[in-house]
Amino acid sequence: MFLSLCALLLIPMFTTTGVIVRLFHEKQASIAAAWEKAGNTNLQAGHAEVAIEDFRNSLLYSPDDSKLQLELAEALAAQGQTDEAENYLFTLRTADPESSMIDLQLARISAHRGDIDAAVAFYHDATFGQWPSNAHKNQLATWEELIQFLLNNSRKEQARAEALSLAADNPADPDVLDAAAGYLAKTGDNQNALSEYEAVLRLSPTDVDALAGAGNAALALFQLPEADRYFTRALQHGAKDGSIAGKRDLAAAASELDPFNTRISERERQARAIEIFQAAEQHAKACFPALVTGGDALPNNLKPLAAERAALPAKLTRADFSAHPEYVDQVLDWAFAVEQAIPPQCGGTLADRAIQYLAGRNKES
Amino acid sequence: MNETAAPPQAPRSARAANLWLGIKRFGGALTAREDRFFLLLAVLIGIFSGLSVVCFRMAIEFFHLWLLRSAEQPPILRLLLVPCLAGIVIAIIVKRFAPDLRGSGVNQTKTAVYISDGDIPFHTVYGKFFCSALAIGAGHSLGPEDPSLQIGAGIASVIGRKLRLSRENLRLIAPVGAAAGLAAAFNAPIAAVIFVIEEVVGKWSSGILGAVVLSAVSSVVVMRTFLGAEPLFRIPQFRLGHPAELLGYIALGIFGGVFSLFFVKFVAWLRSWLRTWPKWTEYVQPAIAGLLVGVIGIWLPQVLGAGYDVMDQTMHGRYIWQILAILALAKVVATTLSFSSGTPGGMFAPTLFIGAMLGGAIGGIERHFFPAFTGGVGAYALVGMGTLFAGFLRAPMTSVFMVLEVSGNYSIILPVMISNTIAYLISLKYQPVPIFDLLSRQDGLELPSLEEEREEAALRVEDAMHPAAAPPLRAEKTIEQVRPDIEKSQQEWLLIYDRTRGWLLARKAEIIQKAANVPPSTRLAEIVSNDSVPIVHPDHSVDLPLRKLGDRPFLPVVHRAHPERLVGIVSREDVLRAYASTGLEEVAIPGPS
Repeated sequence: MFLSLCALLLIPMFTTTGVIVRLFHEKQASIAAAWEKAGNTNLQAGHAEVAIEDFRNSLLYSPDDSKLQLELAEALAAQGQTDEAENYLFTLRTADPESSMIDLQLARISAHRGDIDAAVAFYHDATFGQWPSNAHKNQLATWEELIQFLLNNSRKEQARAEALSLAADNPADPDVLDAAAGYLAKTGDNQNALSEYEAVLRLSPTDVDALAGAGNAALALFQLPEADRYFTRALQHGAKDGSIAGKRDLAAAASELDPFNTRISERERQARAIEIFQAAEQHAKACFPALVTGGDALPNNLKPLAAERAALPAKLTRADFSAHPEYVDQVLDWAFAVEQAIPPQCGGTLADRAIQYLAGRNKES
Repeated sequence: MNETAAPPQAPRSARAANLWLGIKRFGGALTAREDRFFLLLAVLIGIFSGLSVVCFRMAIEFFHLWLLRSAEQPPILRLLLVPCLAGIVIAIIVKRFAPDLRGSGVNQTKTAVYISDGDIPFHTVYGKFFCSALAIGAGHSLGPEDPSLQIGAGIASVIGRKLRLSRENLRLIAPVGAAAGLAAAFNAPIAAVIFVIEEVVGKWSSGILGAVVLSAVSSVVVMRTFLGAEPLFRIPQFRLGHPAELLGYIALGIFGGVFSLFFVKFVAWLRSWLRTWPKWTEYVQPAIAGLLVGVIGIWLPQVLGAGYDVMDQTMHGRYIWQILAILALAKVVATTLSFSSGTPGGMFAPTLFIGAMLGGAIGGIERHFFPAFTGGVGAYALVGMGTLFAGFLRAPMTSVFMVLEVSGNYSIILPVMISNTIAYLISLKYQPVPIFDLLSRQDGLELPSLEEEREEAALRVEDAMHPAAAPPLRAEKTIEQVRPDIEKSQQEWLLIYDRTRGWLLARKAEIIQKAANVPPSTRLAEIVSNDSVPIVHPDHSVDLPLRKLGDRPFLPVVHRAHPERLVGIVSREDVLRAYASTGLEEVAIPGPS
């Protein structure tokens, strides 16, 4: 009898307890929401510390709210409290190991701490994890953040590999290819950068950024006619970057002066060598007259150049090259050395800049 | 249009009567056998306890929101007033209406089991519910587990009394309720079962174990139905940074043991000192404690209440180690003040809090100086909880299972076992009387100390037995073969081993007389009576022979692996001699049945 009564008593007890718990949960939810709102307001107003306290208060009443924990972790990370932020994130990661949002935060914390390998691992997890919305856009942004992080930390080879993967994974997206080409150029892989820019131009032939990028890559590769062509097209399609015109002129001038072009004759090569020599001599006369005329008023690093000049004929002609074929290289070496030794503040013509550019190529080769 | 005649509706009162009859029949079928009935009762107690504990937790939360508001740092005026005023209200209730609300729920449950035949008055249940909820909600540094345990035990006791259970069953039913209450409070049924067995009941038996497990499980199911299955804390990932990190956990065990000692001594000293104050001061002691705790809370609001949220945040590395060390010390002071003043509430949560802070502090120090060797501060905080639990509450098994259950991470077992064992051994060495026994002795009660019983050296049969004067006879041999041995024996009783019947005992004179009337080729087995003798083994408790001897002069002590091999014999005199030689002669010895 008593047991049966107890069994019946359970019904109102369950109901009452259910109502109490529901009321409490509603109360908790409203308090948590109020604190979260205050936290976001304070965060937007730049009061990160107060916002952290608000988020903490909110978490007291909604401890399992992963969005709130993530917000708190982000705020903590922004404040430099990385240990606590990381712990929150690890807990969240245990519950949701595929979440890219969590991995991205962990990557940023590892990056902040200087743990490059861990950061790269988390960036990879974030890139290929699950995003709550805008998955493709967020994936690309994370991938690019990873490449930028690698570049900032002088891991050019890793950055290059990531950029190539990024491009390979998105062969039909000109924006991504454009960005990948830019990163490849930053890693020094101008050949692949030029290929990616060309891929962009096949998809979008009037893309000004791609044209400029391709011009830069071609210029870096000493493909002067191509560089000239890309810069010209960029200008034709309204490129706003003021430096492009200068680069085009440089490419054109260098192309005209280029003594290493294998398609020109020996005669033409000699003529270009004389032109380069005379331009360098004019430049030297304007900045350091003693370099050409002789004298002691020269810095020590230029004195050997003065001696070299003195060893050459006073007025160089093609006949001198016929008599002394070795003069061609000597003359070019002297002109390149002079152009590189003259400080930029001394000014110079387009031809001088073109010779300086060619001097870089000569040095590389 | 055809209208189908509706079936005649039974009157509503008749249907209700049928339902009632059905419930009664169902209950009757379930309660037909006593063992089934007890298990059914355990489930019922578990459900009621689970519901009560859920409401108790809700009451604490509502009191907290109402009195201290929702921010982590309550307004200063409230901090100064609320715990103090709550202390006055509680003191009046306790002094005027229910003095037994003071003190530890564990001890009060043990008192009910060992002194009051399992009787816990119902006013203790609701009094504890209200006063503890008010105290904890108002910020007193106490925990809800101990009161939950007592609420569960009280509910069980009330149900048991209403069902007019026998005295024996009434004693058993209170621990069943205690396990249910504790399991729901901790959301950890295994730890609750082990704690109740380890600390309240003191022995494992199938009857009590089945009921305790059922009640704990049913209460946790109820609790999880309402509050969810999430553990008490969000546990961070655990990884052992380096094998050398175990040294850190050894350090945690040592510090935990020392801290436990400090905590126990402080509670014991303050409690006994407050008892020297005039009786009327019991009206103001909780208020003074509340005021002091409120003052601490102005700078360290984390010490207010049970502090589960702070433990959670510690596990997520919120605090630096210096703050954690200060919090551990402040919590010891605040809890000692609240508990010693007689404010109802438990020591479990504060113990876990102190352990978490201490663990976090040691983890933080290690991380600061040996960053490569440290997995994470959260793991130290978690292990620290178990460490203090083992050192302060002296429940080593419960402490290990509690950490495992709360963390849900088996890989943490190694540091937990190392740290807990060290803390337990330090505490055992320098504080021979455990905290619960110490409290009960301060209250003038001599409750059985289950730890002392565990630690007591047990007397075994091998300590009492002596070698047999003559080798046993083999029943398969003929009269002719055994006659020389029988005649040579100086003993009145002879031991015979029979492969089918086991060990037999026969008088020498009786065998000689029977042997004279049968041919010499007759086997000994044929003339010996069928009464086999109970055997004992050398590792049996020494009281077992006393219960088995009956009117026999002695029992054979045989090898466990070779039951035919006689190791010795044990008589009633041997047992008494063994007790006398170890100073245990005052132990009541049952006579022969």
